[in-house]
Amino acid sequence: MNPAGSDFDVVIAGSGFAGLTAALAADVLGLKTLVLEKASDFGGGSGFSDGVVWAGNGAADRAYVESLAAGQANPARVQAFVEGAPLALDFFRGNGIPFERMASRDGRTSQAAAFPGERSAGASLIAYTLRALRERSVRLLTGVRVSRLSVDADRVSGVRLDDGRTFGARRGVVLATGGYGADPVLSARFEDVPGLVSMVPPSITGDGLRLGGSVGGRVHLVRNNLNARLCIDGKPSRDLNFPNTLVVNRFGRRFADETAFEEIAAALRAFDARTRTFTNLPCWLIFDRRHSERWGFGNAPPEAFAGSAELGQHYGIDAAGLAATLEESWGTVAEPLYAIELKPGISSSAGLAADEDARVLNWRGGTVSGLYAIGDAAAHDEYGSGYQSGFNLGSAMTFALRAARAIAALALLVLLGWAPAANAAGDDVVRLTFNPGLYDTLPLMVAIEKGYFAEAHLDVQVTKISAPHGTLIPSLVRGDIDVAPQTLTPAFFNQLGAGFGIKVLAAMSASHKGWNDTVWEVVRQDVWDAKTVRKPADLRGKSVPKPVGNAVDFMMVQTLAKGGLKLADVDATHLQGGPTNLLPALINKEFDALAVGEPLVTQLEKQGLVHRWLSYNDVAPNFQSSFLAASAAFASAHPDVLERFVVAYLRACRYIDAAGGKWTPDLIDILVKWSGQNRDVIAAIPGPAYPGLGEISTDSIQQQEQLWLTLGLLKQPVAPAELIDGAFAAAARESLHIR
Amino acid sequence: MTSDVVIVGSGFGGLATAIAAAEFGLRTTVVERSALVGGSTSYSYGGVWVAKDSRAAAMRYMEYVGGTQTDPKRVAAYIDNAPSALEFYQHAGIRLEPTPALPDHFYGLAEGAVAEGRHFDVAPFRGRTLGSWRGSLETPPGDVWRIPLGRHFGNAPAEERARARAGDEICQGPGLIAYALHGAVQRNVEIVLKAAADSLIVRKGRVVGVRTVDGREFSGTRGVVIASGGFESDSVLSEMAENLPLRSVHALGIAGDGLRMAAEAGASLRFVHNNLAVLLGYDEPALPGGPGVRVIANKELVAPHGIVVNRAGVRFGNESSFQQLAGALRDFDGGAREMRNLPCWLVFDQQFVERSGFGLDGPGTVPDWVVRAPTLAALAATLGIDAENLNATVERFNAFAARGVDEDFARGDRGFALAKLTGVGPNPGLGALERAPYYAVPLITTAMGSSGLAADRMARVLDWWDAPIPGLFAVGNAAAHDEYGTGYQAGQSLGSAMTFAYLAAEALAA
Repeated sequence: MNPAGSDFDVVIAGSGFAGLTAALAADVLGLKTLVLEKASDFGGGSGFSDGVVWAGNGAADRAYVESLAAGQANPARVQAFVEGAPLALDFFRGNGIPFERMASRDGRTSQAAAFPGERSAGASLIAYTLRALRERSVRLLTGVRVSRLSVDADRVSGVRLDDGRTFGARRGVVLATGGYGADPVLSARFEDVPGLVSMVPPSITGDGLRLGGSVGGRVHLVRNNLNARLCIDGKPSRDLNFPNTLVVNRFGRRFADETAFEEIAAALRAFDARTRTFTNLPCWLIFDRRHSERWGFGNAPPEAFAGSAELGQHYGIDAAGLAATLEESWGTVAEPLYAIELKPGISSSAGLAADEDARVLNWRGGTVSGLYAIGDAAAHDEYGSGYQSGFNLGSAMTFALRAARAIAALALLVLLGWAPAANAAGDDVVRLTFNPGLYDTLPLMVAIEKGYFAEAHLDVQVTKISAPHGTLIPSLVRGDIDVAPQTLTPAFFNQLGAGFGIKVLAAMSASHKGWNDTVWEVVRQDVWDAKTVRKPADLRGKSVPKPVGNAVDFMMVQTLAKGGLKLADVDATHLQGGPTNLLPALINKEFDALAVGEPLVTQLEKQGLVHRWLSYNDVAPNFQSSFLAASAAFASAHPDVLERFVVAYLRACRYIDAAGGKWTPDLIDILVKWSGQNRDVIAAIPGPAYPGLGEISTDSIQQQEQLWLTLGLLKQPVAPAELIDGAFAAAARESLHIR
Repeated sequence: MTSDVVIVGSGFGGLATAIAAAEFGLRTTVVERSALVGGSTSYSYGGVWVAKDSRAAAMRYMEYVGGTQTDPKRVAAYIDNAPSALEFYQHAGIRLEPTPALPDHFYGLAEGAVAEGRHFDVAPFRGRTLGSWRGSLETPPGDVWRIPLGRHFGNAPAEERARARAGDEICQGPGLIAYALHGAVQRNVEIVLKAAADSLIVRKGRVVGVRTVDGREFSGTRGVVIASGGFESDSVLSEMAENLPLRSVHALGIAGDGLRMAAEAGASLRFVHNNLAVLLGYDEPALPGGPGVRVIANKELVAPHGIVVNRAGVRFGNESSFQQLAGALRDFDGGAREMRNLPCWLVFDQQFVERSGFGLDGPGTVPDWVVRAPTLAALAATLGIDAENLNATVERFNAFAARGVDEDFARGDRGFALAKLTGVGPNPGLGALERAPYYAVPLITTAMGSSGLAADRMARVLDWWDAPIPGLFAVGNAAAHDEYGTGYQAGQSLGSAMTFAYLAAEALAA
């Protein structure tokens, strides 16, 4: 490190609106702050923008932002954005930026007042922010480029400049260098639209992405980014919004509503695999005298053509197609006819993956200690594919404030004697993956929502999936996931034969008197109404799905056994296709009875398709149908962490157990929130499943294994002892004084 | 444990690197996280694409295959070095022979394509040659892989398969691995199974080894080669890379270990857009290895009397060319903010069932679970497809079938390499949908990934400023496939793996 004076609490790379607001917030929060700008002027891309800042009504805007995001958003970041934006607007208004609501919009966008002498709203915004920083004597340098981040003991501790100087950053480095619009190499690597032009100043070359990536920051690409424009001379063409202008491809055809940039952006990606060309690139702005007279083209008017044939030949546009398009769109052409090639420009789609406090994520689900990314240096998964005016700068100031607060909070903790550890709060990371659409995962949701994991100093990082838990086996055995639920499918047993290890830690659902079950044998409603099936023996000759290794097969086979029947006594020759085929199969009367899991049972029941008949409680008392499992690698590497995890998990089981098998409003709320399912459906489920209290039933595992062996789905028997590690649950039960 | 080179992964890329490195005199260790050798190569056809005919023609062909997503230096490195790499590995004992009667995928469509001679696969390998290693060879369920690819293209008669089984003959992907494993063992390459690499050991900016999940360290004084495959099993990464919802077809987790490890050490990534190695399949409950996705790109999808439609009831591509469907699967409606052609279904009629059949049991059969209805309208209603459009689409398609010309997507115009067109009438690729009942199967997208670590023409992994990271190499699917871009030509994945394996070993030995 350099001598005294060169160390700061926070070093910020980049002086666009993101970087400058981060500096302002950091200084207000008492952090010694330095801003480094590569260009000779402050302001980056923001200084050339329209200066519009979006800050809506808080949580109420979440649905709006998610509707624009087209599935490309991270819910936690969306929430942080919509809730944080109005707070940030107030915060910065109170600290020197005179924001004014824009009257012409929906009340959610603002601009800074005009700054004397500045020509644009973007420049005014930067000018006010700079003035506030100078009044507070924050150190700001221009013409200095950060060449590398310094890392000490796995923590980003400062920056090194091109000229060899270093600056220490005791609490954090904030990357606010913008995207990579002016860097053709990164643009080609990350954007799926070819031939892009830059819409930003030449200094915006992806420095933050490179710096963050080089210290192990995770890169994220938002797909179908709709924040694209068609440009003339590197500036978005405004001609598209006027009458008597069109945009056509080389076939002379229009391909989108010219006034809707999101339609144009999507169409620019159309790729014809047969010809290996982009269908709508190149493309041209076509207009005639009516537009040229109104708008004018100054000193460099494009070449004038007598008609579509001449123009088409000159530019390589299909003349017949163009003539047809003009005929359809305008009827008559007011000659002469003009064309200008439009070039696509796009805001950077890729950036560093960051969390809701702008901490840069690493490749293992944790964070890069001491590193933050805001503005376009971070991937915009707070608004995903969609875009509306003001999102960019609104997000910049929101995450600038959140990053500054996170750094200040950390600084405070350090003052109070905490040592910064692998993550900000010093918690151990556990990577948990589960399918919240399966209602037996309720204990995991409860442990999260009730803060049991947090109280155990665990940073439980959840990945939600929508597939069966069996699909997680490869990731679990490899240790890509630490903990996940498992059901006793053939794949679960077979993984041991391949030399892998998954450890069963505790039950997750079990049949228990007075409680609802996870799986029900149902009878098709019209069969039930015909009164031909009332007891298990009545299934003789009826049609049921062929058991092929699904977790629900056990239920069906047990039901048959209860009636003294074997598979040969029923028509079990038909396969049940994937879940997508279940509804058609019932409509087509393919099966008379079948086993179905919750909450699908309740959904089918509500639609009048099935009668809820028998559950594990009726045919296999005390049967444990799903389990909490951990990767063997994690269990052996971090037994102390796993032990705390299991304690928190058992606290959640105990919480559910206390409800006695009935829904409480609290449990319904939690399940609705996590499953994303309709409250009516959840409330119609008879009750929660019994989670168990840390027991593991070897009998259940053996019964299940026997079924797969009988059906020939299991290669070789597995001793249950190899699967079970009951020590964690035993220790947890002891520490919680369970029995 | 100290070697000159540590290789992560025992697929063909890894083993080929090991053979060459050992041949060049380097002490070589392969670490494999599974208990078995072979990785995803074992689940492949094992085809290796090498153009020995004409560099100029091959480069013209690559221009088409690449679809704007290539790095010219890497393309040239592949095309220029593949013939000598092939010769090297043939000399090393891997009996790669030209696959008969297999044209380039885009023969007749792209310049520089040839009718035969660029695709190689291995002659049968006798399992017992491997000795005690035979038990460690990864093989898929069933026995399709016991017959050379060029014989019957997966439809070998039962007695031929029985003969091959009796002699433990190993071909296709597992065969390629068997030869390579044998070659590596003969050259004293140390192969460590159940060693799951976790992170790279970096000293003074140089990669000098690998640390495993259970804390073991393998040092490679000259460097580390990442050959651990792509990240198809990681749905977050692969859906981001492919811009599609995806399901993995790999029985093993191909979850991007190498990518993570290298990225943590400062490696940069490259996305290859519009990857056309996207194959449609469906949820097959009765696969030999358990329920899973069965890919039908060159099977049911190309059979006459069937079409693929979206929820609007509209066709969106040439069903007999998976590459063309792949391009359209990514269509995104910017206004409605949804994928236009997903979900999609294969819709077919009774003639399809009788002629080709659907599913594992062949002509005349269709599994009971497949949704059916007496009319197209009823089928559409059951599945939530626009009925009016579906009727109109089928009517239009039936007219194409009668005339023998698909005016919308040119299906059946050109004999697609692996597809057997079995229809009758003016165009064997087409057949009307006109005999009830009508059937529909929801389709699932799978992909062989193309994005990955950015590497140079010597397979050196690049940092974020495009400088090679000292001591770090990537071959096979771990590296971004900017040597063939959008693709997809069968054999180029393994062909380039072989070529860059050879080049990486040369660089390590230099």
